[in-house]
Parts: sequence; C-alpha cells; structure tokens
Amino acid sequence: MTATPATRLPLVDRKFTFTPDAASREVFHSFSRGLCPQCKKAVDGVRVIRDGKVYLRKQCPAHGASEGLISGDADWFLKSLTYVKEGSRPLEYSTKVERGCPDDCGLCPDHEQHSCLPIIEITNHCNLECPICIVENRHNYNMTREEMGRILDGLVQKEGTLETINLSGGEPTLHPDFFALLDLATAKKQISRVSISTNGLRCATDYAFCEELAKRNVYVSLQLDALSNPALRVLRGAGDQRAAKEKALANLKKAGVRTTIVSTVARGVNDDQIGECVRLLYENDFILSLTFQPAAFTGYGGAHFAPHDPLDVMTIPDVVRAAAEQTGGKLAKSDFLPLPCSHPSCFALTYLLKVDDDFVPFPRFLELDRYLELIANRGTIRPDDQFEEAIRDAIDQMWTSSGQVPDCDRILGVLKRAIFLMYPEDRALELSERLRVGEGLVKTIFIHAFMDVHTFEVDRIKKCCTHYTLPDGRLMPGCAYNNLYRDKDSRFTGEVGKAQIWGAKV
Amino acid sequence: MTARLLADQVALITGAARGLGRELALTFARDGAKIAFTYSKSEEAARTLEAELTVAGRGVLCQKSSVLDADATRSFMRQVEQRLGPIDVLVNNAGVSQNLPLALLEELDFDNVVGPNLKGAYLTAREVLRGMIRRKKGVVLNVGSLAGVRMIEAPIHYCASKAGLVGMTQAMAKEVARHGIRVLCIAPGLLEDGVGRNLPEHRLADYLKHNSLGRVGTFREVAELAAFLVSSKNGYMTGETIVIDGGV
Repeated sequence: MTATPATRLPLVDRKFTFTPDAASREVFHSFSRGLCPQCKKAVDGVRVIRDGKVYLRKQCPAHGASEGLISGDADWFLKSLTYVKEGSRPLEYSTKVERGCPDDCGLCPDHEQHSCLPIIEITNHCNLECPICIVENRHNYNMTREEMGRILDGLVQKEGTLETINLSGGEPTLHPDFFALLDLATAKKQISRVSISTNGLRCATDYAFCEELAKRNVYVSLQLDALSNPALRVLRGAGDQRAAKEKALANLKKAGVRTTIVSTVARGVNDDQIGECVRLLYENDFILSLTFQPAAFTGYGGAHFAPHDPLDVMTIPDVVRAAAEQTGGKLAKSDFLPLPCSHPSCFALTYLLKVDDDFVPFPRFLELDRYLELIANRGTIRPDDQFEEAIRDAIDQMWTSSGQVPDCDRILGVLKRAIFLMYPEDRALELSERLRVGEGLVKTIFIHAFMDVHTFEVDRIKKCCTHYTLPDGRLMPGCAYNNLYRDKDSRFTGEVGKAQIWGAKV
Repeated sequence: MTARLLADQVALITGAARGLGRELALTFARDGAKIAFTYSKSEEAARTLEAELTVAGRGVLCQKSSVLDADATRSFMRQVEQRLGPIDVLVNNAGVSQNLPLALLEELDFDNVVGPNLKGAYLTAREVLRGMIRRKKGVVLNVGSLAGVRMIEAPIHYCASKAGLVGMTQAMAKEVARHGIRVLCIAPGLLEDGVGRNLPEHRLADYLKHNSLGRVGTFREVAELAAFLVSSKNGYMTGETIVIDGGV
C-alpha cells in the first residue's frame, strides 16, 4: 500500500489571510483569557488584528475593557501559531486542578510543559533599584542551605535530570552564603549546568569572585541592556553603570566565565541598542548567547517605570525587526523561529554557526524541517542523534547544492574542523569537553517575552517552561508567579528590609 | 611446567605505544615473546611500554617510525634480527581513523587513513615476509575491524582500509602458504578506549543495543585471542578473518 504524501500547507496563504494594515480596520482572530489589569482576576478576552499588529482585548465585569499589544507583526503571529509541539510532562506535580488555570499553580496536572529552566531565587536583596525590575525586592529574605537542598532534591524528583538551573534574586551574589548554595547546586550530578543571573556589579568589582565562578564552571547571565548611560539610567537607575558593565565584561572575559548577555528591551529607551548587543555576542568568544527580553511591566517595574503605553510595547517580532535593521544583514527575520516546545508567543531563537570571523544563522544552511526538529524541544544544542542527523543532512545538502547556499564551502570547512575538534584521532573527549568545543562554534540568540497584566494569556502560561522554584515544593510558571503569586509569597511578607545600595559597604 | 604460548618467539608489533597495540605487546611478552614495536607519535607512552617490557625480563626494542616508511621498517627489522633474533610474528596493528562523512571526506583525508591502515600493513609485511619465507616459518596477523566485514555506520575510508586488510589477508595467505607461513586477520568490534572511544553517546547506545553481550570489548580480550591465533597451537588456520565483537 502506498502512503499518501502529507499535504504541505503554506504557513500563511495571503489569499485567505486578512491582516488589515489600517488602524481603523479590525478583524477578530480568536478568543483568549487574560487578566484584568486592575483587579488581576482572570477574564475572557479576544485577540484582534489591526494595523498589521495583534492586540488582546479583555472585558472585566468590574473594571471594564482593557487592551494590550501582544504582537507587533500579525504575519509573524499567524505563522508562529503553526508551531505546536506536545510538551514533556514532569515526573510529578505539586498541586491539584481545583480552581482552574492560572489559580492552581505549582505545577498542576493541567500544565502542559515541564521545567526547562528552573529559577531559584536565593535572595530578595538587591543593590540596584531598577525602574524596569520585574520583581518586587523587599530586602528581607536570604534562602537557607536547608531550603536550597530541599528545592534541589524536589527538582531532581520532578525532572529526573536537568540541563540547566538558574540562581537568581534579587541580586544572588549578595547572598552571604552564596558559594555554599552554589556548591550545593553544582554538586548535583543530575544537573548539567548552573547559571546565575546577575547585574554584574560584583563581577565588576571583585575579580576573584569571577575566578571562583570559572573554577566552578558556572554560567553567568549578565544583565546588560545597553552600553550607554542614558538608556541604562532609565532602565536601571542612577550611577555610571556603563563603566560597571564594561568592567564586569572585562573581568568575566579574563576569568573565562561562559557568559550570556540578557537585555531587557523597552520601546523608545534601548530598542536602538539591539545591534550593539549582537555585536558584543559576535566579537567575544566568552559570550555564548544573547537573550532579549521585551520589557514586561510587573513588580517594581510595573509600578515605577516611566508611564508606558500597553498598546506600544516591544514584542518578539519587534525585536526581530530591530535586529535585522541594526545588524546590516547579518540577521534577517527569516533567521528567527518560535521555539516549538514553548508557546510560540513566548520564545523565539536562532542558532549561529561561527564561520571564520563571522556567524551564519543555521536556517540559512539547514532545511526548515530539520531546523525545527533540532529546536523542537530544547533551547540549547546537544550532540545527540537528532543533531547529528540534522547536521549530516545539511552537509549533504550543501555539498550537492552546487553553491546554492551562500558561503557553503566556508561552512563545510567549519563543520569539518568542528568534527576534528570534537572527535580528535588521538584521544576521547568527555561529553562536557565536546559540549565546550560546541559552545565555541555555535552561539544562540533567544528572545523571551515575559507577560504582564496587559499581555498575560492563559494558553501561554499553560506551556510555560521557565519556573520559579519554591521551598515548599511548588514550581511556579514565571509570569503567573510574577503577576499573581509573588506578592503573596510567605517568604517575603515580613517587614521591608534595608536596601543594599550599590557602592555602599555591605 | 607448561611451556609458554609464545616462548622464545620474536614478535614485531606496529603502532604499539598505546591502545590495543600496547596490550598485544604486554600479553605476548607475558606469554614468553620478545617484543619489537614501532610507534609514530606517542614518545612518552612508548618509553613507558619499553620500560614495562624491560622489567618483564624479555628482550625489547622499539623505534619511532611510520609504517609508510619502508626504509625505516627495513632498518628496524635488521636491528631486531640482530638483537632479538629472527621475527616469528608480525602484527600489523598501526592504524588511524577519522570521523568524517563522505561529503567532507577529501582525497587527502582518504589517503591519510587508507595509507597507514592498508598500504602500511602491506609495506611492513613485505619487508618481514622476506625473512619469514627464507626461514619457511612465521605468522602475520593483520588487525582489521568489524567495520571491514559488516555494514555498519563508520567512515568509508576507515571501512575501506579494514576491508582491504581482509582481502589482503586472504591473498597473502594463499601466496605464502607454500612456505608454511600463516596469515590471519582479527576483526574486533568496539573496544574500550579503542577507535570507537569518540563515538557519540547515542551511537554507542545503538551499538550496544545490537550487541548480544551488551557491552564493548576490552583490549585484553582481543590480545588473548591474538596470542592464541599467532601461536603454534593454532597451526591449521590461515587466510581467515576472525571476528571478536560480543555478537553483533
């Protein structure tokens, strides 16, 4: 019996896709469920398309209608919805389904995705008061070793093995027992990578600290929204933060700490610095990846950031467009795709292969189907059978394409060198060594869109894989926690402590 | 007291500083043989092996040379015969591998693997066989691979070179049989720390799934079989390729 070939539908057929580009015309797209920005209760809403963009409009019985921009590019939005992948379930859940999403978090069996990136907030002390901060630091909590141990055990119980966990805060490096907690995490053999999210102030002023991080093979997610003080002051507050960021970068580079740059992008503040961040990624071997986070207005940022218009915020396609415009063709819209395992409105990414002194985005030499398989359920590349198959297909395709792929000879040369480096003739490399070689050859740009009360949608939170871990065993989907649970977390309910101001002796 | 399996034999083993070659040298020495070996790169490992074989109390001689350098092989052979005696056993063990798909496998890569693995074995055997034929005595053991006898996922130049050894073994065995010389080939599957050591984890898992004994082999297991194959106890076997792979 001959199998019927699957029909390949165009992602968006213009004949049947009406995306009005006039501000005055609007088309209904779909129902949704979000939050009332005033009372934060879950309310019904609709997604509508107008002016080439997508908006979420909700109606609260008590507070009336509200609207927020959820995608700055209707075409991107519609295409992204074709990326649907069944999630991987955790091994066990911590809560039951009782009131319905998003009121049962922790995770409940209704959640559609396991924890790809658990975040452990080890302190709520911070030495910055960032106007854009998405959390609400009350300066009154430091995690105990016992709590940390319990969280790590719980994670292993729920996940089995974990590719990455992240220590965050507050500013985690202010924790008085920082290295003891870090060592608890790095000692877990079920956890492959430990990263810390930091504002970089300690890295800038304490080189020995950077060396300790390097010694422990810890990855640093350095918050770096821009390299110009006017933008940094709007986002991060007072002081010469540009000098601090540059010093932090220099120390991390010198110590050989594998670093990710995390840039929060706010419309009209630093959206012109996206190309600059990409340049930093391209020019520095120790920077392995770059994460853009379109600004979400929750926590301290929701209350203190300069008045913003929910109808004119940065979204994933806006970051993509800016990246293409500001990198002179090094990046294009077609280089970015949603991460299928996550909700397509939450994550987009591109992998970049280092070719001599430049980088070539994977989608330029890998067939789309193969590329999608590669990124189907992960944010990082692993040298497994799927990756090997994808690369082999790409090699054969380039080799047989008679130069149709630009730079194919150079790319093939790089892939050959990569094989020699990862599989040398004279000795066997440990997996960790091979991964390290791979890290030098492949970089990643992520775009991770957090939600605030204007953009929050229940279907997105159901597929969230970025989870805050609580000592009571719950894993809280990031945006649900930030918008609905953080202010009720019993760890932080005490009196507000004294802020540890940047530069003051701690 | 039982005579040792290789008592008073002189064995020349190519590429013996590390890996299977090293284990062959140690096992043959344990079984009574005097060992001559060559190596191409690993100076320190060669010195270590030389010292271990010296402590074992039997004669030992080593030389840094490529199996593609016939002049060096000839000169080394003369030294071996002068100092240890006529060569009774030759093991063509030296070999290299590269993990390259066809699209990336260029002519030079092909030559760099097939050269040492196949031409090197031929050049060394040709030199050593001259004396063996004269003496009407000797055994040549070529170290092949499962990749040379089965259709498995491995680089084509490596497979071609190892399959070439199978053919060469048969032809050589036929040609020198009239002088009482035996020629054999041993074809191990994946070995601990062997050429498959750099196999990606998923490929190793797939291999083990199809392996009856469910594990990779050890150098020791192959060396023990090799010692028997080249010994006089195995006097009636020639031209054969013996697979030792745990049942793939």
